[in-house]
Amino acid sequence: MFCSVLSGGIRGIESFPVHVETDISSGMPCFEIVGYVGSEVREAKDRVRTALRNAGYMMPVARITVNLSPADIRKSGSAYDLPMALSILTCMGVIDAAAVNGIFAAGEVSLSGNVCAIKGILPMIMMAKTLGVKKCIIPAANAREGAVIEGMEVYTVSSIAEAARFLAGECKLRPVVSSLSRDLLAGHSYDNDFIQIKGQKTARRGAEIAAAGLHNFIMVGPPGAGKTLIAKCIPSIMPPLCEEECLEVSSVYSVRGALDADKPVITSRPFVSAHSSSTDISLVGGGARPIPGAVSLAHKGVLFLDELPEFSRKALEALRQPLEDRMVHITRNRDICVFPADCMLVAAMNPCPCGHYPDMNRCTCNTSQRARYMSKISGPFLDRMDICVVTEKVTPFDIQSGSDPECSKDILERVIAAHRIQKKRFEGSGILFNSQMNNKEIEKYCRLGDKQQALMKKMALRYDMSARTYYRVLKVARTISDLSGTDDITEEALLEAVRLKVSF
Amino acid sequence: MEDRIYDYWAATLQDGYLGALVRLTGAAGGARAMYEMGEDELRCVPGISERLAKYITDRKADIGLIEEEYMRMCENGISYVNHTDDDFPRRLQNTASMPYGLFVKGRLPDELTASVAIVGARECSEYGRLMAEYFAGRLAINGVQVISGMAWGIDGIAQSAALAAGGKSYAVLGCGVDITYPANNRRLYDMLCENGNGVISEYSPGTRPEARRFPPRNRIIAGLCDVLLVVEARAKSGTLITVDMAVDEGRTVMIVPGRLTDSLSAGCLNLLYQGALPATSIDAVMEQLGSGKDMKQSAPSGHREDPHPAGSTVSPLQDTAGIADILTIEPRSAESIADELKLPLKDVMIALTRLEMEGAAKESYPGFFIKADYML
Repeated sequence: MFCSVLSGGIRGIESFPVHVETDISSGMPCFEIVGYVGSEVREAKDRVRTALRNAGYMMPVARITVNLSPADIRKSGSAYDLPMALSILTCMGVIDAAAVNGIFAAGEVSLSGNVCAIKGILPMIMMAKTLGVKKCIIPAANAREGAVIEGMEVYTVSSIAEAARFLAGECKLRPVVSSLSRDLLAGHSYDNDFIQIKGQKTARRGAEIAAAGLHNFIMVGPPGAGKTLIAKCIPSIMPPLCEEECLEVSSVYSVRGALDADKPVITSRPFVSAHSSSTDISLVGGGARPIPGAVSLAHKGVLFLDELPEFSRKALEALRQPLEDRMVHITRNRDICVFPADCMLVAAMNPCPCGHYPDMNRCTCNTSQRARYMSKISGPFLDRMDICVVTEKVTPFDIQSGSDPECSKDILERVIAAHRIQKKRFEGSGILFNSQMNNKEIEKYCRLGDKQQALMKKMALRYDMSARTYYRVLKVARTISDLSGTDDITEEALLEAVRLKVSF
Repeated sequence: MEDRIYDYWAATLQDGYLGALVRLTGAAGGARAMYEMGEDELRCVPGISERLAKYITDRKADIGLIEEEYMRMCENGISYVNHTDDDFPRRLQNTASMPYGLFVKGRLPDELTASVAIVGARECSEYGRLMAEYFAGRLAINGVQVISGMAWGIDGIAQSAALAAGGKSYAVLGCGVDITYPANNRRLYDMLCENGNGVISEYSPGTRPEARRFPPRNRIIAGLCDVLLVVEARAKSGTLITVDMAVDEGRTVMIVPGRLTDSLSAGCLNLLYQGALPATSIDAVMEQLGSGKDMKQSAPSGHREDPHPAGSTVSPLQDTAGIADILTIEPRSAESIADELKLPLKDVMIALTRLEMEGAAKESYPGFFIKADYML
């Protein structure tokens, strides 16, 4: 007797369909799993056999062959346990073959017969939906994550017996209610708001321009200047995620196993702070079974690198390609995993090892120590930073000063307006933001008037700009003009953009 | 073999035995004569220790190597001046710790021209930078030679400013004159090697820079100058060694005053308290040199260009004036200016770029601005 149940595997952040086929025939009794499977899947043999027995189902003494199709893609993970058990039960006649037809199942089983949580439920259900599947059976522990997708009947089970009884029609389960729209509406609440930041006008302005054009942003300042807090506030001035973006971001977290019952879906822009001891793999992703790194977890949000010079050179160099391509490609054996990595990079650093330069009364570093500190960041990496601001220590005067600073909501309105202008400008060109323009596009979209051209030429000479710096100033000036709603790049925008270039 | 090679050989022995060596060659009647003396003979010279006699005898074997080195040195355009030579600086001849000889790339300072040594902190402030540029530039315009140690900070800034003003400058190094130390001063070093300027050291070419060699080098700086001008020095600064040596040699020590709140001026203020002369203006320094008043009052150090030359496209913004007035030598951020003037930050940033383009402001460190057109 033969039976097939649909399940799913994960590659990158996407799921591909896997048919779990079982055949029970007479012959020498054995239990064989085939189909290019990893050791976790091979071990399913013992898990499933014991779990079925403890759930009260004795496997027949017969030749049992399980095949995971397609057989030419390597399968790993424990998600195939439940579909395997269900297809065996169907072959045994416990469940009617029609009941498993057209359903999707995934889940790990324990020896007791319980069903445990797995990673990557969200992309699996998204995949099932595109295949036209109507019913899904997933572990109860993944309930809220499974409920994200609308238009799908998602049933959660906590044991094999429950799943078997449900499919055999012996008991009724209620599908979990989709909550995405509700979550999105309740959506983007951020712990940090620009209203908390007193003073720091330069950094605020820099952050606003950076968010408006999705420019990479670096802050240089002494310890205690509030660089980290400002970075944490940046997601709050980025437009709310749309449904598509939300699912994309949530998929990354699902694959990484970072979604839980409290946070079944990511509705606010992620803020990921990478520690300076991070390795290149932890930043860009990798491993024998590739998992997304910090740059992908920050997809559509902010990747924050504090103490930039303390990062290993190797780690920073590894970030360069993903930042350029806005995705990470990891090649393993026959597979290529693609993780999205469309994030805004925000970095912070001290001006010198002690952090007090240029306050000569406090700085204890000498020139060569400072030079060595700065030289830890490679030129090509700094070239990816469009906006640089210098922050100063906050004084008690700033903290006590009367009027409240502007809140994130007001800044967000201006950012959204600037995004709208850019969306219109770049329609059909494959990019969305000013920071993504290449030199050709800069020539096209940042055309200067005669006066502005003359000013830019003068500034290029005065500040000894490289071609790269020149283009970067133009890009930032474009964003400044978009923020002020002017069609042409103004002289004022150019003069301000020059102040925001990286100049060390 | 030339006598010169024996002088060179003797000069390589001076480390630690300087006084004895000068006495010994004096008594023997030259370095060659000393070379030809046996160890017993050397020991008989009064004031010569057994150790030195043995050391000299041991090093006699080096003479072949020394000859090679000497040839190579001549090829590299480095000359050697022995303390007995006519062209040995007379200012040094009178000092207690006269070097045995000097290695020179370029030239030695002119004997008849006034010289001022400008020394100070390596990690200087913008104030120190401005003062070093001002005094060095103006002294150079007045034909005064500027002596210093080519170090990072005040030393190098003063020497660069003197050269930029078309004057002469001489660096005394604590390593061989063929070594650029610090390496970042490569440009300055190259300029000092030509056009009548000079790089000087008592150490033979190839000698690496070592901390112990810098205090002795300072005595040559102190010896070569008529006036020692200290720009910035912390309370415990290497510069104070130079000051002590200059005082020992009877040189005039002048101090650029600073503020009590600046730790970089603490050493300077102590020296003023001890009776050093404050360098209140270029005239004050010129007076000490006995050269009378500052000769040229024209081109000030921070020459301000015409803010709006014909054809300029930068339109004047009313606010730039107020911002120009608020800038001082104290670096300050755009934000602090905006707070003080109660102007939007954006306008201040725009105005600062304009002022910088006009030459009225300068970004001394990313994000921090100073006044750039001091009319001193």
